[in-house]
Amino acid sequence: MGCANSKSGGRDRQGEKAVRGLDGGGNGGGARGAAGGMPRIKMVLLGDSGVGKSCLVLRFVRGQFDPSSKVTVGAAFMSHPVALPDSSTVKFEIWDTAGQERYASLAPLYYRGASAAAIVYDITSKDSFAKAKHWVKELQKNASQEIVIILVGNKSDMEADRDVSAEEAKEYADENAMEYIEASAKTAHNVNEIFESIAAHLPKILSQGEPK
Amino acid sequence: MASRPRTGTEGSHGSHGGGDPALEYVASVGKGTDLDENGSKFMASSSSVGMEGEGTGKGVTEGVSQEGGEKGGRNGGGVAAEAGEVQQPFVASTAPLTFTDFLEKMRAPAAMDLVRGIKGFINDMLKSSTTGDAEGDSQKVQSFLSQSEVAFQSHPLWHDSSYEELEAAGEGLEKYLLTKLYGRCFGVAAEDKERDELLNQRMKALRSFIKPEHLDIPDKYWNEQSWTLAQKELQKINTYKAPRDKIVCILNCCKVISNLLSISVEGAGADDFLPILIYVLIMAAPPQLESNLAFIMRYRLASRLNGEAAYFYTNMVSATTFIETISPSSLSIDASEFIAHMQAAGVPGSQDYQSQSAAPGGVTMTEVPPPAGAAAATATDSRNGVGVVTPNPKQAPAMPPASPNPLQQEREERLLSNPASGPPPVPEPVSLPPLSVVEEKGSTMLLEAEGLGELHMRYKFLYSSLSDLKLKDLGVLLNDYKELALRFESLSRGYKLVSGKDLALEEQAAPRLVKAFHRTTPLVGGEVGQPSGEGLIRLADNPVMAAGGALPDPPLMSALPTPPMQQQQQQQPVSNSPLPDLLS
Repeated sequence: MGCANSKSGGRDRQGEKAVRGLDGGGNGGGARGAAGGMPRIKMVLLGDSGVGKSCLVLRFVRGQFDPSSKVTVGAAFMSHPVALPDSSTVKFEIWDTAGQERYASLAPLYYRGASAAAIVYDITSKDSFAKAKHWVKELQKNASQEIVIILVGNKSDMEADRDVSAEEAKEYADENAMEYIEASAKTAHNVNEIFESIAAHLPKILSQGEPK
Repeated sequence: MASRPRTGTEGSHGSHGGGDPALEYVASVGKGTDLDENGSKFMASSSSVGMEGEGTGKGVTEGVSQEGGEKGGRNGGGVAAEAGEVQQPFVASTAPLTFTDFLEKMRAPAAMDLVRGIKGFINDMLKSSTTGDAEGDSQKVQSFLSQSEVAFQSHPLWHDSSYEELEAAGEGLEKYLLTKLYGRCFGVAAEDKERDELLNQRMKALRSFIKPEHLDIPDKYWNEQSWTLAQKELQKINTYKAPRDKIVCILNCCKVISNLLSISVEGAGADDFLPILIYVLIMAAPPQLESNLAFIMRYRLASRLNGEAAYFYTNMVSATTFIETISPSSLSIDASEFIAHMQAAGVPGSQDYQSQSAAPGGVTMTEVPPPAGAAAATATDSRNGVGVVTPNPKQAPAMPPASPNPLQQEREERLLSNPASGPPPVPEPVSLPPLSVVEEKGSTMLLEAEGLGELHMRYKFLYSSLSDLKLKDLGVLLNDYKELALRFESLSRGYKLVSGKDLALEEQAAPRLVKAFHRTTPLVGGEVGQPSGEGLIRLADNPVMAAGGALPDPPLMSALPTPPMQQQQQQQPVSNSPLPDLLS
């Protein structure tokens, strides 16, 4: 599968202000400079295959660049700096997981030690929402108590095919004390907001010390 | 250690001369590395610490070309600079480092104290026994590495040094140390060898029949050239000794796959990556991969195993776990075909897949992995068990292929960002072994426990004769009986739920047990402890008891000669007629 991309000016310029230039401040050395200083936030992506987990991240990471640029981006792992409300910055290290059922038992290898998790479903697929609920339960049971979880309904641009109502998802998220957002990797709607929301909910300690 | 990796001889890397600088870097360090030797031999092909802009002369496919080259060729400088790390995956993790700088510094007179400390540590390690306490070794090395790095920071040699230089020094020390300790630390643990064997066995079997479509890898990624290249990168893992160099091999393999994905499809993620990695791994089948993964986890300084390297390392662990626990339902393949192939390849336990595939959804349950100390036992048991002949293989659920994996748990724990508040052990699905195997193992352990007198502690009437009993014991006896009955019932029902099988007794196990039991020396008998009032109340209210359901024969009770509680319940509360002594 690939990411649907709106060619017609779908690029979300406004997202730039939230994330742009964070990497530039004093560490032209890129990865190495960042590795030396910026706290790392491990974030894991969970969700059925085909819901567009990696597309959301790709859109987030690439939002500030020309989508027509054909640069090589490995979408399974991405890291990207994000500004916190207190104007410090952290580096999101985003771990994608394989969503197919046959790999479900491997997920703990990935989410252990994660500070944040985005559980993604497709608003046009009830099945993917059921799968998302499964991941919520599993994280509640097995992941760190402090993990920040956000429920993400992807493909918000496909309102006509909607199969999971926003009310239902919101209610479920509220019951489980997590954030909920609908977004579209295609139009970039709410993509940056996913990460901003997580950043805002991270425990203070993460913005100060560097977790391993 | 039959196939010790051929490591670090200078001449062994001619094949990629002019190629990947990261590989040249590792190639430049031989096994003769010694602080006393002339450092010039290590300088042959070392590169600078900088990681950007490394050119490449190697262009087999896009997969191997260095990112630096792509960047220069494709993007305007501005965009690339801004893109920085985002656009250049794998660069930082695989960047060449200067080992020579470290060796140079160590030859300086001011480094005398450090050299002495390092050599002392190495000698201590080499002298210490190799009893396979891999965890203990790991802790020693980890703490020595981190302490040394702290010492570097305040050492005159690194006065005014940058973060990068200190990092490089730490890397240099790690490489030096583990090169020296390689024979002492690599692949010596029994559990590593066992896992190597298990993995190799499965990979070999799978290699004989697996096709990309069995993993649902889309046609668009079928690229023989890329896959072969990825295999070759991975196979190099045994040619290097230092943990980081081994990780570089894993990363280079993953990089080839990653590049293939990003060329083919925009935004291909882990859904596409992992199946290809698994396929590539099966085809590459590098020897001693589990030993390598364990070695990396134990001896790569924990704080450096992070970010991208940690992610792809985890993927490799994930792929090996998948292969080790593979079952018909793991692949898009007809179950009988899968079983036939596995049997043809002589994979132990493959006949037991039958029932697993027959049972809807597979016979799996989640189980908390045993503590790390049980590593060897777990691995051994799971494979010894499969040799047991069950009367009807169709009814025997598959053996767990070394499922709850302590080693893997150990790796996971290292990857935790906050070990103090870490989550509980990860539940992993395991398939249930046949009951006969469970009981067989249990009875062996039981006899051992009995020999040690442990049973006496728990079951105070086990060694009593009727004449030992007093009226006041009745309450305790009854309580114990109820407890046993209910625990057996819960276990039995639980087993049936997860296995679809009744916990009916295998005929042979119990009599054998009694015979063995009779041979053992009698222990002190007949003491009576405090009855648990709380237990009585709880049990009396238990619905199972109220319902008075018929109990299946408990495995041991039925076989033992006339258990006291049965006799008493029947009629004679305080008879003096002696019951047969359990231990007569």
